[in-house]
Order: sequence, then structure tokens, then C-alpha cells
Amino acid sequence: MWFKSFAAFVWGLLLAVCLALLLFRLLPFAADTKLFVGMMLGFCLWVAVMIYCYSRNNAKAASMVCGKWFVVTAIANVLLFYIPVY
Amino acid sequence: MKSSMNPRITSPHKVIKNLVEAHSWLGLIISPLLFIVFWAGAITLFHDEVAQWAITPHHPVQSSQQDLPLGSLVKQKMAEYPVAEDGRFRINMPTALVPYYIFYLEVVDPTTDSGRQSFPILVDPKTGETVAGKDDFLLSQFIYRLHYNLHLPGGSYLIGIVTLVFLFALVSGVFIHARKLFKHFFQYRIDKQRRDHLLDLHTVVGVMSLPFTVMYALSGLVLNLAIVFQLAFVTFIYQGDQQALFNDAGFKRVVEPRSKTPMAMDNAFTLIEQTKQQANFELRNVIFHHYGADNALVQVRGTDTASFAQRDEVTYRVANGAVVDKVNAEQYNVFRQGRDVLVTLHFGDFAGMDVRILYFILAMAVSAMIVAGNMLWINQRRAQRHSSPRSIAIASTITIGGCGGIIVATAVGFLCERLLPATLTARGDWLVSCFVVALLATMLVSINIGNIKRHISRLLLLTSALLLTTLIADWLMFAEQMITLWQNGFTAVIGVQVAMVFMAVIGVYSALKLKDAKPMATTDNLSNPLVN
Repeated sequence: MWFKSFAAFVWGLLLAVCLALLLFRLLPFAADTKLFVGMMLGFCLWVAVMIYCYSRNNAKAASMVCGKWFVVTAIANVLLFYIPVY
Repeated sequence: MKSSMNPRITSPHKVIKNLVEAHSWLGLIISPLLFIVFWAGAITLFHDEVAQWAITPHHPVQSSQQDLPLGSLVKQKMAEYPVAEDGRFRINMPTALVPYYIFYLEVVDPTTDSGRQSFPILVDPKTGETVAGKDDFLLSQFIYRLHYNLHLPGGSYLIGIVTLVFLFALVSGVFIHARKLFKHFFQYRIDKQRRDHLLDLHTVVGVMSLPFTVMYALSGLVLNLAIVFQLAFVTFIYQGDQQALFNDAGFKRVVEPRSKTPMAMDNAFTLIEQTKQQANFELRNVIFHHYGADNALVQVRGTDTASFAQRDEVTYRVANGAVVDKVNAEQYNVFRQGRDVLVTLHFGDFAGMDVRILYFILAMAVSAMIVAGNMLWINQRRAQRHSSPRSIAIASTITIGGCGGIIVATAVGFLCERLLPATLTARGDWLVSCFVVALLATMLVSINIGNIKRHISRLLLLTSALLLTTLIADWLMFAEQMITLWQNGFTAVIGVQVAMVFMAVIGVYSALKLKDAKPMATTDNLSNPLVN
């Protein structure tokens, strides 16, 4: 359970941050709206990823899927990093 | 071929079984801290009432007298104390519940590394006297700090993590009970032959309080763990410019060095008075920046009494009265407004006493749900032959000693707040020490107990006795003052006493019920695990 907890917490954090940043860059709203939506959805995504990780039989199975999603979202963030948003 | 060699990876995921395991395992780990959060949070709903009960009998305020002008009070305090004028300081206005100004000053103190020290004081608005240090009557503030940071440095992040796990427990609980969520919505089996009362209590409270607990978990995360997303946004979106993020989030701050040219501050108090006269505006506090310099600013903050969760704020340049920044119902910021809505919902201070009483009952029910969840885990482990007696003993001590200890220690806190002399040096530290000693002592006597119900019964009786002793001490020490306070409209003093009597009666009633019940630690009434 400790491995699964570590995976759930770390993958949840990384994916939530990556997706919140993506939302900020892609949503066509004002900065204050995007900050609020990003933060609230960020926490929800963090818990959603935790739910997913704990629902798997082991940490490795959870990490395989979350790792792939992290690579995709991280690459998207890196690409969008050079586009000024504010 | 490879997949058949590793059946653990390829076997279908037992989603619900895995979530049940995670729900009970994580729930057990966070339960002592979560119990503190809900228990202390329930009492914090009446923070100002407890503060009035603690302070006003020692320092009654003469309602019949006129308030002194704020300007002359500030000048008086600036002359009395070596206030560090550069930077800023805040003054909270007197309220119906806490009838003193609270000056959050920073005084020069060469003995500290920064050369200054925070110095919050309570000031009588009628006489201008400093009645006490803000932390001399610490009980209400200490319980509030327990709620959000355990009164520990860095504790708010720990509570943030606990809140995150709590939200996980809520969502996983919904998954676990999804099929029976509506069908068994009001189920609480009163058949005494059944063995799963704890499970029913845990489930029913969990389901019925779900909107409340989800709101608390989300708003708690915003209050305690927003730093995670703040850091991410500052680093990757705002490229290190933290102030730009704060400006976008509606927390603008004018950063400029203090001018060397002095200036009289009379205009600041005129501006405060003018703002106070605006319709639907209730002044809460003012913040001075560079007090006494010709680039001084005054920030006037209050609530819009005509709107829900609307905080109004205006910042003036004192020299010419120009508005530097303004936030109100017309000029709002979505982030700040959203955060204010969550904070208002979190503290339940939007619809009078009724809502706070409802919140209190729900918070107490959630506290009971946490204990019931732990008892389920302990009973389930006791039923399993291969489970470790040591882990059961630890879980049992944490549950009974930790949760019971917090209840007893809170009652000790109330008694100490009443009995400790008002002039005692480091009075607040004494109160915290008594609280911690009571908590540790209860945990010690809760190790390896044979009959859990009898032990809980004794703890409840002890708590009730402490509360009634506090009540007796109240009347022996301050009978005359309390009657005068009641006549002057400070009804919260008696209100807190009524609440203490009510809690003592519930404690005695529950203790007697538990005393008559069968012992819990037998194989006769072991509960089933969460999954039927």
C-alpha cells in the first residue's frame, strides 16, 4: 500500500499541475477566471488520479498509465511554454 | 506468453476491493488529525463567542460611554510602544461579540534576528487602555489554530495533505457505496441483534453529510494547499513574477519604499470615516502602509451586507485621498470572489446562528463517523487470526486515546482559560501546556484497555465534570460581571455556559448508555468489513 500511496500522490500532483497549466494556456477566459478554474479543477484532478491509482492492483500498473499521460501533458506544456499568455 | 508469466499485472483490477482497502487504510492513518480538524473546527464556528466568554468578564466594556476617535487611539498607541513605522500594521474594529480594537502592531525588538516582533494587543474603545495581549486569552485562537495548522510551524501544509486524503476518502466512499447510495439513504438499523451498527453509523453519516464534507474538503484545500498551484503558475506561466500572479488573482499590493518626508495622518481617519458611512458597508479592519510618511496608504476593508460573500475593499493614498485600488460588487475579480465564496461557506458566517448550529451538529457527526470508521477497522482486524496485536493496540490507542484525549483536553482548556490569572506571564503558553499534558495523559491511560466502552464512558464523565467545574468557577469568580454583561447585551458569555451544560448533559447521558452496554472487545459483536 505504501508504494501505491506514493504513486497516487506523486502522479496525482504531477498530472494535476500539468493539466491545470494546460487549461490555463488553452481556455479563452480572463486570467482571474483561469486561475480559479485551474486551481479548483487541479484539486479535483489530483484526487481523480489518486482514485485511479488506488483502484489498480499495484503501483506498477498505475504508474504505467499515469506515466504515459504525464509524458503527453508535459510535452504539450513544454511546447506551449514559449507562447506568452499574459 | 509474457503476460501469462505475471498474473498480478494482467489479472483484472478489483476496483471496489482496492478502493475499500485504500479507504480504510488511509482513513485510519489520517483519522487522528482529521478528528482534530473537525472537532476544533466545530468549536471554531463559535470563535468570537468563546473569545467574549473568556475576555469580557475580566475586562468589561462600558457600553454607555462613547467610543474614542480611532485617530487619537492610534496616536496614543504609537506613543506608548516602540512601533516599527516602516511596513504596515492592521487594526480590527470592535464587533458586537469582541468589543475591543485589535491592534496588530510590529514593535522594534533588537533581541530578534529581524529587529522587530509582532505585538497584537486588545484596546478598550471607550478608555483607550490596552486591556491585554491578544494571545493572553488564547483559547479560541488556539482551537482555531489547531483546526488549520495544529498550532505547529508548517502544520497548515500537513492539514492540507490530510484534507486531500479526506477528499479521496469521500470520493472512494461514493464509489464503494454507489450501488446502495440512494436505496439505503436513510438506513440506520435499530435491531439490537445486528452486529453492524458502527458500519451503519459510518455510512449514514458519510452519505447524509456528503455535500457538507465535499464543500469542507474543497474549501480546506483552497485555504491550505493552494500554494502547490500558486508555485506551478508562478514558475511556468508567470515566469517567476509572483506579484503579477497576485495582481491577476485580485490581491494587488502597492510596493514602494517609505518616504523620508513625514506627514500628519488626520486625513486617513477622515477617509476611513467617509468609507464607513457608505450604504451596506460594514467596516471590519483597516491597514496602514508607511504610517506617518507622505506616501502613506490606508486600506479600508469590510463586507457588503447586501450581497453574499462580498468583501469590499478600497485603498487610498492618504496625502490626497486618491483611490489606488478598489474591490466591490461592481469591480470584482473572479478568483478572489470565488475564494471569498468558499471561505464564507467554510466558516458558515452567512446566515446567523442557525446555520452555525447546523454546521456544528454536522461537524460533530463527522467526528463520530471518523471514530466509527476506526472502530470498524479495529474490530475487523481483531476478527482476523493472522493480524498483528501490536497494530491493533496502536490503532486502538490512537483512536480512543487520541480522539478521547482531544475531547478531554478541550474541556481542560476551557477550565484553564477561566482559572488562570489574567495577569499571569505567558498565560497562553500555560494554557497550551495544560492542553497538551491532558491529551498525553489521556493517551497514556488509554493504552491496552480491556473494556473500550467502559473507558469511553469514563472519559465522557471526566469531560462533563470538567465542563461543570468551569461553569461553577465562572459564577464563583464573575457572577456580578456576568449579570452586568448580560444586561449590556453581551449574551455570548451565558450562551457559552449554556452550550457547556448541554455538552455535559450529552456526555453524562452517553456515558451512562455506554456503561450499561455489553463490552465491545469480545468476538460476539465484531463488525463485518466495509464490503458485504
